[in-house]
Amino acid sequence: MNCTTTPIITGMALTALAFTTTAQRADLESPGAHHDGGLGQTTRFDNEFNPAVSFIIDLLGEYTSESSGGKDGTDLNLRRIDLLVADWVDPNAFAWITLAIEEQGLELDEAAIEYVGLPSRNTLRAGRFFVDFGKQMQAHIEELRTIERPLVLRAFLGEELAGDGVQWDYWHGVGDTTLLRYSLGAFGSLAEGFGRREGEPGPEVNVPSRKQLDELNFTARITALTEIGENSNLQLGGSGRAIPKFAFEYAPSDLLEAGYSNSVFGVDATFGWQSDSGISNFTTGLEYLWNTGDLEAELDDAGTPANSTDDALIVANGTRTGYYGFVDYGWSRSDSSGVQYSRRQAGRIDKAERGELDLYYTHHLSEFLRLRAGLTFATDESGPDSTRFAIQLTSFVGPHAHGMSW
Amino acid sequence: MRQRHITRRSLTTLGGAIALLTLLPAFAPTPAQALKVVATIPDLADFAHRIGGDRVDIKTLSKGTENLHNVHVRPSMLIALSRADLFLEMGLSMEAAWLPELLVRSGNDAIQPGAKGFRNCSVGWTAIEVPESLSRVHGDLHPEGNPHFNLDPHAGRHLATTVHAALVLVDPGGEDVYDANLKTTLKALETAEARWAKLGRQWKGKQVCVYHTEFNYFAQRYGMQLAVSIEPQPGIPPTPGDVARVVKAMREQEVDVILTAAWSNNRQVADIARKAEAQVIELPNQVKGADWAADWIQFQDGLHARVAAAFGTTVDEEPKPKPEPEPGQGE
Repeated sequence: MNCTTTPIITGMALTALAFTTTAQRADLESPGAHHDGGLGQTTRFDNEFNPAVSFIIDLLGEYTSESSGGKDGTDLNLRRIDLLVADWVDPNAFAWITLAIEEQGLELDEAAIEYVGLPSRNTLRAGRFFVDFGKQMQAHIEELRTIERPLVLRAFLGEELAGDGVQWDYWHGVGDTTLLRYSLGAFGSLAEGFGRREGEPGPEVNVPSRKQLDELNFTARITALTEIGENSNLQLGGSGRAIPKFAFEYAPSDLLEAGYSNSVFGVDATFGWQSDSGISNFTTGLEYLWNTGDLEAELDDAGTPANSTDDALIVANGTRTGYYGFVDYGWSRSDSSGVQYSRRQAGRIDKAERGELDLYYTHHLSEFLRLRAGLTFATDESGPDSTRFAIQLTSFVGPHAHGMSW
Repeated sequence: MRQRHITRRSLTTLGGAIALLTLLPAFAPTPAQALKVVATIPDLADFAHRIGGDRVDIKTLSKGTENLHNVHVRPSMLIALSRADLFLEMGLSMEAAWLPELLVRSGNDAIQPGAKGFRNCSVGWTAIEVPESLSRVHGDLHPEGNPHFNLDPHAGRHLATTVHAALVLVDPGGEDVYDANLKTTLKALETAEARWAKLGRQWKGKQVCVYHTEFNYFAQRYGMQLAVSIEPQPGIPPTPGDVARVVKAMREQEVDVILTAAWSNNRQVADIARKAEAQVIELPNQVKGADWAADWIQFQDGLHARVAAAFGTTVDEEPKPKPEPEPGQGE
C-alpha cells in the first residue's frame, strides 16, 4: 500500500464508521435531534426483514424483411432487464421499485407506495408507477401476451407510461358475482411517448413543471367484472388520460408554443373462459381508443433548412382513433397461442394509416422460463410494409408479482 | 383552447360519476345473520359445514377440479372475502400464487393474517418434504413443506379440530353446537379411518409413480413407495429426456401404477403408461374433484377404492361403511 492510497482508505473507513454510528443513533444522538419514537426496526443491521428481490431478463432474436427493397436483416439483443424490489413497509403499506436496464441505460420505471389502510376498500398509491388505462398499460412490456405492445397503445400513450403522482382506487360488489372498480390518478406529467412519431425526430411535448391544480395530468378508469356461468368472466371498462396543458418544443430552432391539450379515451371488453381443470383457457378482448385534442406537431422550415430563424411549428388537432383486438387460446399448462390485430388511423401530419397483425405462440419451459415465437405483419401507408419473425426468451428470477390484474 | 374546456368538463363529469358510484354500496342489503365463512378449497368448506351446521354460510373459492396452485380468480371470490367473518386456508403456501392479493384487496380487516377471522389450517400439522435448501433448482418449492395434506387419510381429524377452534373463536355463542358437531364428525372420521386402514395395510411396499407431489401424503401414510415422479421437480414440466428416464425407471422397478390428477399433462401420462405398460389412475386432489367426492369422507372412500382396485385389493372383503350422520348436525 503506498502513501497515496493510505489516507484515502483511512478516510473511507472513518466515513463508514461515522455513517454507522449515525444510523445506530442510540448512543451518539445529538441533543435536540429528531426522535421518531420508533422501536429500532428501521436501524437494525441484520437481514431478517429482507424484501423480495427479483429480476427479469428479456432476450429477443428477430429477422425483419421489408417490402419495396427495404432493409432486411437479423438482430439479437438483450432487450431489457427489470429489477424489482418489493415488500410490505408496515401492515398498511406496500412499496416497490422497478429498475429497467435497456439500450438507453438504467432507468427507474417505478418507485411507489400503496397504502391499503383506508376504510371500505379504498387504496391510495403514490410515487412513480404505470398508469391505470385499459387492460395493458399497467404491465411491463415483457409481461404482455405479445412481444410488443399493440400499435395503437404505442402510438397514443407510449411504449410504457409511468407517471409521478397519486392514484385513488376503490371497488365494491354488486350482488355476489359482479364488482365495479374505479380509479382516479393525478400526475405531474404523462407526456412521455405522446406527440411524436415512432423513431422520428421532431418537436417534443413539454408539460410545465409548475401548473394550476386542474392542469395536472389525469387518468381515470371504471371497470365492471362479472361472471358468466361457472367458468367465464366478462370485463367491460372505460379509461381516460388527460394532459390539460402542454407546449410543443423544438429545441434546435428554439421554438416553444404553449396552450395545447390532449386526451385519450378508451373502452375495452375482455372475455375469459377456463376449463374445469384450468388446463384450457380462452381469452378474447377489444380495446377502442380516441386520441383527441392537439395530436402532434412538425417543423415547417419555410424551405430554408439552414436558417432556423424562419422556422415555425405546425400543430395538428382533431380526433384520431385506433383499436386492437386479440384471441388467445391455451391448450395445456405450458402452451398457448393467439392472434392480435391493431390499427391506428392516419392524422393530418402523420398521414400514414398503420396496422399490425401478430401471430404468436408461447411455451413455458417452466414457470420461470418462457419461450415465445411471434410473426408480425406491419402495414404502413407511408413506408414499406414489413414482416418480422421474432423469438423471445424471458426468465423470471425470484418472486415477481404485480398484484391484482383488474 | 376549446379542447381544454372539453377536457375539464369531461373530468368533472367523470369525477361526479365516480363519487356517485362510490356511494352505491351504502344502499346494499344488510348481510344475513349466519356466520359468513370463506374456505379456499371444498375440503375445508366440508369441515366448516360439518362443524358449523346451520350457523354458517359457506363460500368456497376453488371448485375442486383445478390446480390449487393456479386457481382462476373470479369477481365472486373478492366479494365473498370482503364480506367474510371467517376465512380458512390450507396454508403451507398452497394458495400462495393467487390468494394474498385477494385478501389484501378484499379490504376486510377481520380476515387478514393475524386477525381472529383468519385461520391457516396447516398450523399444528407436521408437513412432509420440508426442503433443506431453497433454490429454484429444486422447482416450485413450498418452503414449509408439501401442502397437499388434505389427501392424508389422517388429516380429517386435524382439519375438523382446527375448523372447530376457528369457529368457536369468531362465534363463541355457537360453541355448544360446534362442540356437538365436532364430536359427531370425529366419530365419523374414526369409523372411516378404521375402514381405510384395513385397505391401506395391504399396500405397504407397493410402488407407484406420481405426476406431481400431491399424492405423497396418501402414499406415505400406508408405506407405499414413491418410486418415480414424472415431474423432475415439483411444478416443472417433464422434458422428453425426463419422460424417457421415467419409462426406464418404471420398467426397471416394475412400477405398474401411475397416480395423476385431472390438471396434470395426462396425454403425456398416458404415453408413459403405454410405454411402461402401467395403468393410470386419475384421481381428484380435492373434495368435489369428481362426482363421487361430494364430501371429505366420500372423497377418501373413493381414493381408497380406486387405489385398491389398481392394486387388486378386494374392497368387497372389507366391511361395508356405515351410513354417515347428516353433515353439520349435532348430537
